[in-house]
Amino acid sequence: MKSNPLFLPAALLVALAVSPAFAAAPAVSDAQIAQIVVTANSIDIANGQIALKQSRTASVDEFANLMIKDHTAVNASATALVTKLGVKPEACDTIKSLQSAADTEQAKLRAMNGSAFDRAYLENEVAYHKQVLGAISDVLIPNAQNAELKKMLVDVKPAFQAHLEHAQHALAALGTH
Amino acid sequence: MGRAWHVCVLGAGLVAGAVAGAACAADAAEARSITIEMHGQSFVPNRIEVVAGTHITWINEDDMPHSVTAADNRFDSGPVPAGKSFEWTAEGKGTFDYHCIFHPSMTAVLSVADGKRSTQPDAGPPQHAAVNQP
Repeated sequence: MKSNPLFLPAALLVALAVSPAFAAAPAVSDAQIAQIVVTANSIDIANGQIALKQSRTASVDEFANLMIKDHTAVNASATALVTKLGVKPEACDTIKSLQSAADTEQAKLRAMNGSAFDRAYLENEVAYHKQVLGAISDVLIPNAQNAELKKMLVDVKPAFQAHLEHAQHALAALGTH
Repeated sequence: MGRAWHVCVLGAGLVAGAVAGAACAADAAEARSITIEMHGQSFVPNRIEVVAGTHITWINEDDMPHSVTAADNRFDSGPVPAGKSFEWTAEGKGTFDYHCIFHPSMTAVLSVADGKRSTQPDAGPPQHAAVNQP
């Protein structure tokens, strides 16, 4: 992946991998896991909405639309599940860090356009999905106590993996233009 | 045949391939062989009723892998690469949600009705398929 100095995934690394809740796999409650899932999906929905405004590249728009659709669906499933389970999503420092990092990156994206935007957006999508996949595998699934919540996390992993691969292919395709 | 979706009816001596839209949807419950497209990250049609014993083929017309995975795991294609298909013969009676494990927004509903209905004229009026076109 070609590095873009303006848009490194470091912020997400900080939010997901280095923050206190994700660094050493400490206990995270089901309520916090539920909120992390919703926040992580909402961030990528927002990223996609920015892409639809800033990009004029068909493949980028297609990817952004897919992210919006899929992450909206995951959020709907997560919300339905936590409602059924009677779990009230709960904020924590990880969520604040995640959202803060996303705010910063999205501000950078909004200031970009053209091919620079396309590359920055897709690089961020690659980095973001890698980090979220890592968090799901290493933190969220091991800490989930409720079996249905754990199953939802397991079930959603293939989607994040597919999104990652899609973003990587879209990014590689940009390199030929 | 429109690209949006098609259902091929092969059962009961009836061959009706090139039909689309409401007429085709109405025949779906009587079908013995149908095709469902995976197209534009959607199952098309995304809601259909078939009779038990119907042979269903899902064709992936997108340029990315999909899956055909029942919520209760009664069928699961695993990854279906672009251009490939998955086949399953409807068994059991009921309404089954299914989805693509790679694209959570890609959901659909398959209803399987009693297979006797289409072969017994006295069983009452046919229960036509409910199809929601995108």
